[in-house]
Amino acid sequence: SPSGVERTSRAPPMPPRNEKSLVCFIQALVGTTVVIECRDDVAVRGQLEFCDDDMHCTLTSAIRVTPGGEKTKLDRIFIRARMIRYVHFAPSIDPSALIETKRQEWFEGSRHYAKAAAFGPKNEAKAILD
Amino acid sequence: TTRLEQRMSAVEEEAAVREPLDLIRLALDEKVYVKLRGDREIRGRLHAYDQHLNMILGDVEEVITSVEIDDETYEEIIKTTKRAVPYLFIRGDSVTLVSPPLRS
Repeated sequence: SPSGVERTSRAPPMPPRNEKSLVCFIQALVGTTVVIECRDDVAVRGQLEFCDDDMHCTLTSAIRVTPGGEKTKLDRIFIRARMIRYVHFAPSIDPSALIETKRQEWFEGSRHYAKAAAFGPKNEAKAILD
Repeated sequence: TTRLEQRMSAVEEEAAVREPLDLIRLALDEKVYVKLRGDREIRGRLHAYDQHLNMILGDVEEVITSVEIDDETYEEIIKTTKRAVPYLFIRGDSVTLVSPPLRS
């Protein structure tokens, strides 16, 4: 473990909150086109811009279709997590592979910032060689 | 206990069925029958689930049942709408029942 960082307990590190549920899969879909079917039978198709740990989502370049067939174009739409019934995604995506890839990316990212915090920006070169 | 015994007991621990969610774990990669709120039924292959019952299913068939009442005869007409999708993510708060598939 890096010097100068104190660990208060010997407990293994907890996984981040999003990895404790399948919301990490929705977060892994950020950037792809999805169709979110809501509990009130309204469907919204758009590019998933952001999804938080509670599954609240924002979509950009969206088309919203009501059960009556009325379509509305929207630049950006926020969908409350509780309103989601289904999330449709491209059939070319393999869920387990995608979660694994994203989990690696998130882990590497947090490791990078943790090292920068521990070693400081000046010593980042030293941390990378670790 | 030897290393092998420790590892064997760890595998046994993981495979143990202790709580209802473990029964869903046994159905991973199998076809399941899921009932949702709003008179919806889904059959599909269970790829993933979590403690909230969020699920990812493959080769999905959704059946929506609705009852219409004829204006003149006042009889109930049961209508079903079917839909097939290759892959589906279901948010867990809609799920009411998960079961091994019924023979149909």
